Amino acid sequence: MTSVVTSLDRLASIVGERWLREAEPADAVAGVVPRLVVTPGDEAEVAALLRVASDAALAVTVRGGGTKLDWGAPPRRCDVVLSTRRLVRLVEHAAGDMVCVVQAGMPLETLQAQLAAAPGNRQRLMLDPPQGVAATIGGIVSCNAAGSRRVRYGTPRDLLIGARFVLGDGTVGHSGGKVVKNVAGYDVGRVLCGALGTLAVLTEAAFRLHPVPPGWRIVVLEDAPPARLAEAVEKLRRLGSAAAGIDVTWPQGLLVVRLEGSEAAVGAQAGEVAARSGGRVLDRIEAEMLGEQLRHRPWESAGAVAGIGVPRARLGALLEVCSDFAVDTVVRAGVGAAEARLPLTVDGPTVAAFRTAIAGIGGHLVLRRGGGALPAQVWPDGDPVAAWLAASLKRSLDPTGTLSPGREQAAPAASSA
Amino acid sequence: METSGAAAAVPVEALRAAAGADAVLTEPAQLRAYECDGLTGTRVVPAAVVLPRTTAQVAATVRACCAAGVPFVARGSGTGLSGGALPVAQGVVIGLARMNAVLSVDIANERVVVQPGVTNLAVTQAVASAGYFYAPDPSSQSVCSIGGNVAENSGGAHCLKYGFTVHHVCAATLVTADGRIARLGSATVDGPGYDLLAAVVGGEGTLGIVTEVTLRIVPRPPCVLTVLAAFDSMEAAGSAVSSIVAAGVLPAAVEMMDRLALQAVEAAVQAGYPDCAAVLLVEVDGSEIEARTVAADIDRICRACGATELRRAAGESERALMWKGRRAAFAAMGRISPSYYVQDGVIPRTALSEVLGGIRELESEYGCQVANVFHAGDGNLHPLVLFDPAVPGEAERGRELAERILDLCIAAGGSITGEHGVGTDKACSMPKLFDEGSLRIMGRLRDAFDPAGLCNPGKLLPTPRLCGEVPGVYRPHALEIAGVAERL
Amino acid sequence: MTSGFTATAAGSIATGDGPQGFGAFDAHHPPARALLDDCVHCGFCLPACPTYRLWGDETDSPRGRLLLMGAALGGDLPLNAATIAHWDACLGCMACMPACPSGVHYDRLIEATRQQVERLAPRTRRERAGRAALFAVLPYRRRVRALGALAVAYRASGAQRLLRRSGLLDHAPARLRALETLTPRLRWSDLRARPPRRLTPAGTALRLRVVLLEGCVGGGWFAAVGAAAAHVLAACGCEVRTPPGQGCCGALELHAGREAAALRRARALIARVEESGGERIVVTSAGCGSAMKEYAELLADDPAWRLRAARFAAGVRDISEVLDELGPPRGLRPLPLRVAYADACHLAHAQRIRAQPRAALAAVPGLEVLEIPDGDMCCGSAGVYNLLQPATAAELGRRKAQAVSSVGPDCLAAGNPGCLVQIGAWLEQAGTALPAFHPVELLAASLQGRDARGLLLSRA
Repeated sequence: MTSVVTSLDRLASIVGERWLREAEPADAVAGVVPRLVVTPGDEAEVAALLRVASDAALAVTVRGGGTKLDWGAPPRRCDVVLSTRRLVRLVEHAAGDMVCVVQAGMPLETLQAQLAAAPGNRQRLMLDPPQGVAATIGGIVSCNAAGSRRVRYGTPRDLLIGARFVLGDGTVGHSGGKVVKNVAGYDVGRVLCGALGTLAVLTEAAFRLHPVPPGWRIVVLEDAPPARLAEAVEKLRRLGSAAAGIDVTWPQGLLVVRLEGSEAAVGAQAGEVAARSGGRVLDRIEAEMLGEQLRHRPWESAGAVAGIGVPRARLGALLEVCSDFAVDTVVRAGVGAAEARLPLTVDGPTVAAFRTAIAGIGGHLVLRRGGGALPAQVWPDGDPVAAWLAASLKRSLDPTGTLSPGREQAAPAASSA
Repeated sequence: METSGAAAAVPVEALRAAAGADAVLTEPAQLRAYECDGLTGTRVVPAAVVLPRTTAQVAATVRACCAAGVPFVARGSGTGLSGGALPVAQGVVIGLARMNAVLSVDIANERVVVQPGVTNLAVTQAVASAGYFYAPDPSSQSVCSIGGNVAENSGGAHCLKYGFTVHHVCAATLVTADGRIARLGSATVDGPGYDLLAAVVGGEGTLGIVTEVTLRIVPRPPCVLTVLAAFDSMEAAGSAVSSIVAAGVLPAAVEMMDRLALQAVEAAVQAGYPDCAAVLLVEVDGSEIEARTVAADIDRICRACGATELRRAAGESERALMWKGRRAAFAAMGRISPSYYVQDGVIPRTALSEVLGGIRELESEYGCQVANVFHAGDGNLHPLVLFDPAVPGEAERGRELAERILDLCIAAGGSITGEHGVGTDKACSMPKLFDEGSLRIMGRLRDAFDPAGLCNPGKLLPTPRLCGEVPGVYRPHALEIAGVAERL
Repeated sequence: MTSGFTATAAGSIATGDGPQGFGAFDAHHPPARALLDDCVHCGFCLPACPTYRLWGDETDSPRGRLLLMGAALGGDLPLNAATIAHWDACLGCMACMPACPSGVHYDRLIEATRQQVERLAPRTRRERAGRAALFAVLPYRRRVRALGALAVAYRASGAQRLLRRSGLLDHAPARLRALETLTPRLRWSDLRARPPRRLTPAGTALRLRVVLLEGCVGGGWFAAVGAAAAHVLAACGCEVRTPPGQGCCGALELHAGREAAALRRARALIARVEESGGERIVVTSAGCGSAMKEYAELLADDPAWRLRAARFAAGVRDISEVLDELGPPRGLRPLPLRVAYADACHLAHAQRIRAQPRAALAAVPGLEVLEIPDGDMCCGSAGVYNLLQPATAAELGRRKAQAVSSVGPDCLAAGNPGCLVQIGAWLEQAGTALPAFHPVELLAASLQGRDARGLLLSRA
């Protein structure tokens, strides 16, 4: 890649020698090893870097904490890894408006700590994705990663109110703003959610925050078979957003309901929920311990992880399928989202069979963390016209194919069914 | 009425073939009825109107327009307030009102599939007996269509807690700008692929025409409590709002109306609102205990901020009456003023007092009255600038005042539109909010969906025709002001 | 949606000349610009409008019709067939008015427009003949009764059953089919009934003196309703007079834009009723009551009559209003019936009378009032609409019949003869025929201690 070599000087002049180095095997992106790792200090440097990269026809992949680099097909090419490690400022925290603006490289945990340290009423960004403490805002948004609290607060897509971004050719822009209610212009930021960094590099995100509720309780139902768990969840359907989490883990057969609100209300509600579901209310210590245990499930151990979406009423069937395939699953039962960790020894045909079984219950499956031997199948055959629109969008925003080319598409397959 | 130079002829026969002869309107009387939506300041009579009944007919209609190079504009119920459904001169209006069926209701999975002409309220009505509702509830919900809601990413009073349309649309069938049919999103969550829905919802009908929508419905909370608080100043009411937020309380809705608005609303619906400087309408919902606890907090906070009266709705009918007034507020203005402009701006909540004060100053400067009705909970203002068109110059002053209010919003760190959309009304103000790079990127997003530029052109993004070329008087083009373009 | 007008060249019948004049209208009571300007184009009227609900076309919505009035007033649209068709398609049900937050006076505007249309726009010979025939019969009680006799004979002889089975009707023109469908389900006894000329309260003190309007279609086919009304009013303590020689109140002609005829009838009726004295003028027909309450506006131009008209109008009450004022009569005996109560548009929308008829029915022990889903949508009767716009009226009639039967009633009740005929006809068409009553007939039956089953059979 002579263009990498010739661009070295230009890249170094933008960030300084200190922030540019040769890549190592550990810097691989889904098995593709880049040549360089570059770490810009601000948005202007990001833009300059990308201008150079697109001029030189280099392929760039953005990396935050590296916890989700496997999401998406491996990029067709990766010449440069652009690290957001230095973009870690909390740009603004307007506590009175319950809004914060943060640079994309800030780890979520750090942000929560800074928000918690602010004077006045306690507020948080209500995201709790399970991929690990190194996860940054940029990666979480680009993968639309969410955890247990999505039942009440939604995913990054639902909490993002504004964004600053840089296109592959270095064009800088922003969408949305710092107010929760805003319909001015196209919501480019929201389109970036889940786009795996292939449409633009997110440099800053503005989020809606929520007050930390004063009281909370955990109700659990333990060691239950799929039918019982499904029945319990169905009985709790009318809770709606009163529950801050309704999770089922398998094969533990555990239902965990988190209630949050005023102290009096959650106390009473916990009793009701326990009665309706046949579970029990945990005491504070048990509850905190359980929270810790489940915090990073099912990512805490090695193995491929699949992201699954099913109709919420098919929970029982989902658990049966998970049982059949011996996967370790956490289901956000309130919305029908699940993450399943496959056994280490799993092979391609088994994954395909798993995917077919999920499709059979009206759901879909996407590999989020692969194992090297598994075929990449990111965005399975969908609607061809939608696929055309997606390709058109990619071409329009990244005409030079600078940002992780190929990551967003499955390998060109025979026409879908 | 607009006329322009050479424009493509409308392919009437092809339209008839696409949607059926009874679906194509060409009589002048019929076309007049479609000359504007809820924004009446600008009117353009379309060259033809098509009223299809199926996705296939919509697609065929779009294809016919594309083949002839004729621009087209989708229209729901025509209640939008930013001119999103304003026809393009010599273009076609595609009205979706005949596609008004609720196609399926799946309570267990909390999904409803509807055609775009279904009214917002009809969705809630379809699921009410199962104890569910469709959460985004614009004040015009009895008439506004889901298709329109999707285009504008509509909110409503309860979006403070529940979110906007984009939070409730799971999937949609989109007729693309070149007349193909795409299926976006999925009924299940975390569907793979780019979130094209995120662009289409709020895309103001410029990225294609939605012909089927899968919506998420939400269980009705067991307890809903509505509090009406009277204050003897807007400042006091505003500080109550800030205090509520600061206390970590999240009501389902917080609405505010000022004295002028109250007068109009009382004349219209006689809801029994108190006669005072400002009224807060706060709704909390959740479990019985949660709702009561939060309502008590709100009572306490309002009193601490000087509320002169506190009322709790005793039952569903009283609650409905309290809301009826708020919902009818815009149109009720007609009872106290011959005419008015509805403005829509957003500010950070903490800037409420400052901006309201600024509006008061502008009132004296321009000699126009402004009634304020708004979603105080999320800082979404709806200043209603009253004027008498019969008085020379008053309409112009009113218009200018409305624009100055928008500048106040931007200066306070807000936005030029909270829910009504940009449409034609604010396209020329976009450069006040977005720099050249951002507008270019938005343009590229739009081009990806509509390379031919026939799908509701002239809306949302500033164009020279829309924003600049007024013969005679020199008005700097918005892009000139932004330092991006030069007039040669 | 044809209205039978000859196509005219654009502007050829405009008598105004643009903004200074009245556009396509003439100077005699054009739709007022000030009233049109009340409309802020919010669209809240759309879901309330039956034609918009049916067709999804903005042009046939209140908002669209107002826009057309404005355009015609401004000289932008001629009063040709294409324009007029949309005003003709308006039912005049007034459902848009309660829905309108701006308080637009749609009733005055459509009335003014219809009068202009009648005056300025020529109709085809066939249309003229048709309307002439209609208005030569309907405002005349005796002629209506004669028509009723034909209807009874037609049904009793079995001719209707034969004709309907034969399938010949499918080949008949739409208007004839409409007429056939609307053949009222009458008996000879209905045609013989007469309201008493004078009735004094029996067993109670005199509380009110009222004059009862006989009505034309009402008086011709539903005189039993008048009789029932008289008895119920008497039981409430009223002295009831039904003056003979009453003419038509002119509602049908007024709502069809035939101003001269409406004025004539109003003057005649006012004069006739004045002679009888009476503190209230009680009506059992929604359309008539609505029109009579507006006599003051109708005769506003006539200095000799406007005061008399105002006095007259001030005393007009629907029977349910009087019952509400006086309270239900004593001695109501159980009548266990499931009654689907259909709001007549000219009661619910035009006069805002909803609670009173329901309260009156609810006063009958054992009687259950059933709400009809989508009850605010017009049944399609709308005066003579079902005769002039048969296809639209048929669709609305079908929907209403479906909604009525969906609640499983024993019978139908409505406060307007036109509604009873229309809904009754379409219930029969759907194979779900129901006995139909005016609410006051049910109260009368209750006072008489009639047996529910027998009552239903008497109207089967």
